[in-house]
Amino acid sequence: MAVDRTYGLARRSARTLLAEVAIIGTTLLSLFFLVYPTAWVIIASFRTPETMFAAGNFQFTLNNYRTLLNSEFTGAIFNSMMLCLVSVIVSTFVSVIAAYVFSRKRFRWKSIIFGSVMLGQTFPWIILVTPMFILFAKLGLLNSHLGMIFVYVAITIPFSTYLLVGYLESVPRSLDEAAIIDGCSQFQVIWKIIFPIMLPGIVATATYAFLLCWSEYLFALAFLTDTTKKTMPLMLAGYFGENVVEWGNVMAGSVLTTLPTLLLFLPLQARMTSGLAAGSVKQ
Amino acid sequence: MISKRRVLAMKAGLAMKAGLAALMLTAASQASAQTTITFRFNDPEAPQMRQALDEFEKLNPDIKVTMQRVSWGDAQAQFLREAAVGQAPDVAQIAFVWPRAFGRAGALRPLDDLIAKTNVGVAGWEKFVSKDLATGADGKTYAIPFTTDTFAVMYNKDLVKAAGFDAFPTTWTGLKELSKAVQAKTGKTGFGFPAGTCGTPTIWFLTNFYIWSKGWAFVEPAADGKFAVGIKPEQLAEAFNYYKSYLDEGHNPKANLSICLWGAPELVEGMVNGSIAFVSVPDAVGVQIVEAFKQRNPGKDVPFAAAPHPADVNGSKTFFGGRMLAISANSKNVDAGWKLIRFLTTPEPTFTKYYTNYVQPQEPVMNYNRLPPEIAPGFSAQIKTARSWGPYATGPVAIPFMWNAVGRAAGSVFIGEKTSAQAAQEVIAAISGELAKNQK
Amino acid sequence: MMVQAVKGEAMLGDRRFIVTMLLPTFFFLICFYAYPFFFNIENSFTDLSLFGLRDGGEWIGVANYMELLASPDFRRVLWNTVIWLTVIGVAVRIILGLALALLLSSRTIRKYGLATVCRVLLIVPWATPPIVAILIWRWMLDPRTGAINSSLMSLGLIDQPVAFLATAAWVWPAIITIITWNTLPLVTLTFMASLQSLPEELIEAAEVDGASRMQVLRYVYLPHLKPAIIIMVLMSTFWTFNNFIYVWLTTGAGPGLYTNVMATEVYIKAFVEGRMGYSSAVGVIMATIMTFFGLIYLRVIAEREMKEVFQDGR
Repeated sequence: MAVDRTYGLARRSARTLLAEVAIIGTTLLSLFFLVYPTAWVIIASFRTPETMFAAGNFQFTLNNYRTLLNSEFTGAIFNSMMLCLVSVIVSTFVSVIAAYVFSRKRFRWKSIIFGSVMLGQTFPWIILVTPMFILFAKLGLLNSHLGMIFVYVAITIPFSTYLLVGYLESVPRSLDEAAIIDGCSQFQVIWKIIFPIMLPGIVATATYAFLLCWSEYLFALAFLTDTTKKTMPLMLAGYFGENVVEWGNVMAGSVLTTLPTLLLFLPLQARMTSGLAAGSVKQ
Repeated sequence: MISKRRVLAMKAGLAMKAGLAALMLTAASQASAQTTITFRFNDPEAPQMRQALDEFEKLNPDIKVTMQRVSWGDAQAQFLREAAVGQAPDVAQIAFVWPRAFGRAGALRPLDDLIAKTNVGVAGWEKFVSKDLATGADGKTYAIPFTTDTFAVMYNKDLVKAAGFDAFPTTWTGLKELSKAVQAKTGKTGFGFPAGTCGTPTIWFLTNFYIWSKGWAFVEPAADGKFAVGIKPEQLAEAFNYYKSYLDEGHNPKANLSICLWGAPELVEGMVNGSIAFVSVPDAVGVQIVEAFKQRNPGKDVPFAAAPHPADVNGSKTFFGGRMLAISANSKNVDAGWKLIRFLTTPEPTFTKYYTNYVQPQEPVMNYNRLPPEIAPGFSAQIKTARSWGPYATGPVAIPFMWNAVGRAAGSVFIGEKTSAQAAQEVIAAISGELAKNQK
Repeated sequence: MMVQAVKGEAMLGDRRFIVTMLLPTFFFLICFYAYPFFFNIENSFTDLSLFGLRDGGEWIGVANYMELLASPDFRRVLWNTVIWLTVIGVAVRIILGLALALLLSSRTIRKYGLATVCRVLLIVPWATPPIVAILIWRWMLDPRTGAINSSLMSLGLIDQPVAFLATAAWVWPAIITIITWNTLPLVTLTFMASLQSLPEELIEAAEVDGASRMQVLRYVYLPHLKPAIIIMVLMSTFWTFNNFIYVWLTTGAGPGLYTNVMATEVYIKAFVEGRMGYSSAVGVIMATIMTFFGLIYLRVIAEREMKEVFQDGR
């Protein structure tokens, strides 16, 4: 009996061990597949273009970065940073106040109005290029950062509003109602009550908006032709030229383009996904 | 109730207008004392061109030149969009075949008055190799030719010899036999041509070289000043089959389906390291290959030579390609722009110091002997038999339309998605359709 | 009387507040979505050309739509967009995301303290901007220097390099691989976040009752994950359907027109061939399909997560 039991346990633990090995093995394999491409680019960015594709021959160099940072790319880093920060601040502010109204107020045609904002998420941007180009030309907004900020605020509002309304729905209404009874104005409620409570959600929303803006290519391609105004994705695509691929620039530029989002995502990751999941968990 | 709503709506409208007005003010306040002109330059030699522009600025202290760059693939759409809304750059480098269509679109400023006043910076303006391309349907001159080039076959003498050929073949059949022999005897690639699809695929040129040499063409002049399709479906299918057989037989590896441009780094590298026997390239790429080889193998003999493309009943036919310079119709700095064009088209110093890889298209200065001596004779021989795009550019079918259609059709044939007969039929139907629509 | 007046004033104040708060949003939405959309509809009935942009096009009625509906090329574009890009693309992402989320949330991974490391590593592809992802993968898939071909060759699995992006059999799987790589982490992490709220006792109870692994998956995990799955399916669908750069910068809609999708068709017709009227018609069809899809999406969020938000008031 005892022997039997030990045998059974051993067999079971052997099976568990096998399952564990399988699980860990599969996990490591998937992670390798997911991390390898980016990791390879990071390593390649420190290799000389001549040895970049050779398997064993590794020659360490910082020249790729030196060349890149001495070129117009530095301006593009600044442009991207500036454009995205301003756009994200504006778009988040606009979305927060709209989300507050959608979440807390009742008014006529609300479902239609809110629905039309949400439908913005499903809109194909490609068809906007020509009309926006003509509109911007009339307003003198081509080759202008102001115009790009307008675009980036507009493309981020629908998704930001969606996320923020989701977050707000999880903030008890009693909180702001109490504040109103205490004599706060509606603006004060948003600023003093809602904003601090929602801050984690707002940060997560802003991060999504930042990623969207940071990697945007289509509008920047059509609206920015002045080299000094271009953003990082545009410059990067430019290194994949028609006659030459400047591999050193491509690799170093790719790393510099990925780094900010990576650094931003590391501390915020849990918050960002719980937001998307939270909305859908409530039933 | 209603009135209240209307008030709100009006307020909303007002706020929007105020917002727009504020935006416009900010944009308008960007004026400056000096004349600043924008110059759209899309070739890879941006640093060299910037040096030339710096010299221009030194000579003209009251003019500043801002250089803008767009990839050639996006350049045409970008310029036309900008021109339509009056935002095109003052001066632009444009492709040889664009001025006529751009002139018709009202995108360019006619230059005849300026030419009459000061002439261009280069001698031999009247002897420009494809003058028809710079002239609009209205007889006005819309652009000044800047550089020209043509494609020739550049080959590795050692590999050709190893394949058992004493001389470079002069027929299409011979070319394929050489390609096959190279692969059979040396294991290297024979004719390394890019067979891939993109906005501006090389296969469009190769197809034209083939059909022109046989006396066919996609568009040719017809009676009463009209244009017609000058090739039958089975003839185009023959051209597609010709190039497809290289891929099927493997002496141009299928991997070349993933590249599309004539100067693709894979081809340049393949020539430099001796893994490709021959390519069809414009002279600037030829120079690039020779220079890269010399840099990597100092003191070694350059193993390359160039030859014209194979000939048939109509001889060996390539085209005059190149760039022109134009002033946009919306430019407010015509004089400054014209000064820049004159400066850039003057051989000294632009072509002697900065933009040295290129040849000017006016016969007195068009000098192919400037190329490295190994490849100069081949390119010189080819340019003597080159033709103008002619009816392709002056006819009613836009070149980008044909370029895209032929490139895509060849792509479908190469991957076996369509038969060559079917693809050829579709291309010719599409071109005929455009012809019929545009010359009612 | 007094009370009513005060209430009325408060309501007016409220209304002013609502309008002020929504005004900026609508300023952007009208300028950016509504106006261009109507402009597109108008253009789709003309023969506007890139070369005639200045003069405008001529009214040709529904000719563009007729041509489009009769064109075999357009049927392929629809097929590519709906089946390859969207249905297969999204399905692969959701299934792999689900598998990976279950794997990374498993007891084994937690037991060895690997969960955090996994989560951090998952961020890497997610934080990689699509343009960088495309550049990286174009190199990975390259027949000459790419990592995939060289590893397959050295493993002896193939004896000639494969031009993945220029071969009919491989090009779609390759594009889907790129999109999946870039977007899988978001899906996985969302599922993982949702799994965190699944009570452990529920699984234990099911196991005590003798449920098999498949049964636990089917009756415990999936019902819990269902809302997250639905939201991810919906969002992935419109992110993918509308996406332009994955296909354009990877294959340029080639080889031939083999991978042409609606977004690239809009681009090619307008900016390569210069037929802006026709391109607008394609764009209108594209927006219409997405609007229908958007209505489903609205229904889902109205019924599930944002019930109260969708209630009108007076």
